[in-house]
Amino acid sequence: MSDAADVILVVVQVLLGASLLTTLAHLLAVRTLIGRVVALEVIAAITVSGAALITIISGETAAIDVALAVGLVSFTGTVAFAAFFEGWHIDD
Amino acid sequence: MIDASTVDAAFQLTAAIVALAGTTFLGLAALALHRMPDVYSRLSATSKAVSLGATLLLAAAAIYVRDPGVTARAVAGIAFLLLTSPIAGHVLGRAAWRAGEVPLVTYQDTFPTGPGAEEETAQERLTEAGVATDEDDDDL
Repeated sequence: MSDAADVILVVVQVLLGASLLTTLAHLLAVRTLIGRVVALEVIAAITVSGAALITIISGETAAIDVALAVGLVSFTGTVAFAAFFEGWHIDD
Repeated sequence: MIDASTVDAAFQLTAAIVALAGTTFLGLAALALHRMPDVYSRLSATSKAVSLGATLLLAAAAIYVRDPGVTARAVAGIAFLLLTSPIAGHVLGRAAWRAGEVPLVTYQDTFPTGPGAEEETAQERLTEAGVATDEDDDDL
């Protein structure tokens, strides 16, 4: 275990948590629906990165599966929301 | 002679630096959400920064753990992210345009007859959004 890597990883955790809180503040502050979806997309990406970081820190290799699953669900949700927002219909 | 623990430490340090770079991009994306004035510029700023940040962190996990399974999943995740992130950004921007979201930064209207087009000048948009007042119209 190298000391410098551990210090950098603590900095990475703090930065990731700070950006998550910043994005949450924006999510609560923004007024439009589509602005909230943009903020949620950023939150999903931060969650993917957090899962990758958990893989690094704890050595739990199952956590990277979580990253994959969150990425999939995030993309599906974004496209589904855009379809709803544009008013698409199945029989169009 | 280079022993195994030195190689391990080098890999760990490389992974930590890559993770730090990725987190910097994610922090910049979170900052851009606050600094950018309208939905289109927020989308433009975050969709690029976020895909690069998450990609770098997944790559850091692959470098740090050095396990074939983890590396395969990280590469799959990176490929998926780089494929879907531009699509998600485009779809969201198109939905915003179709819904008549008002652009504040881009004055040139490429699709003036599109479904979201509104017949108002940039000055009126800025005034409506509270960015500028009607008096200071000479510095636009």
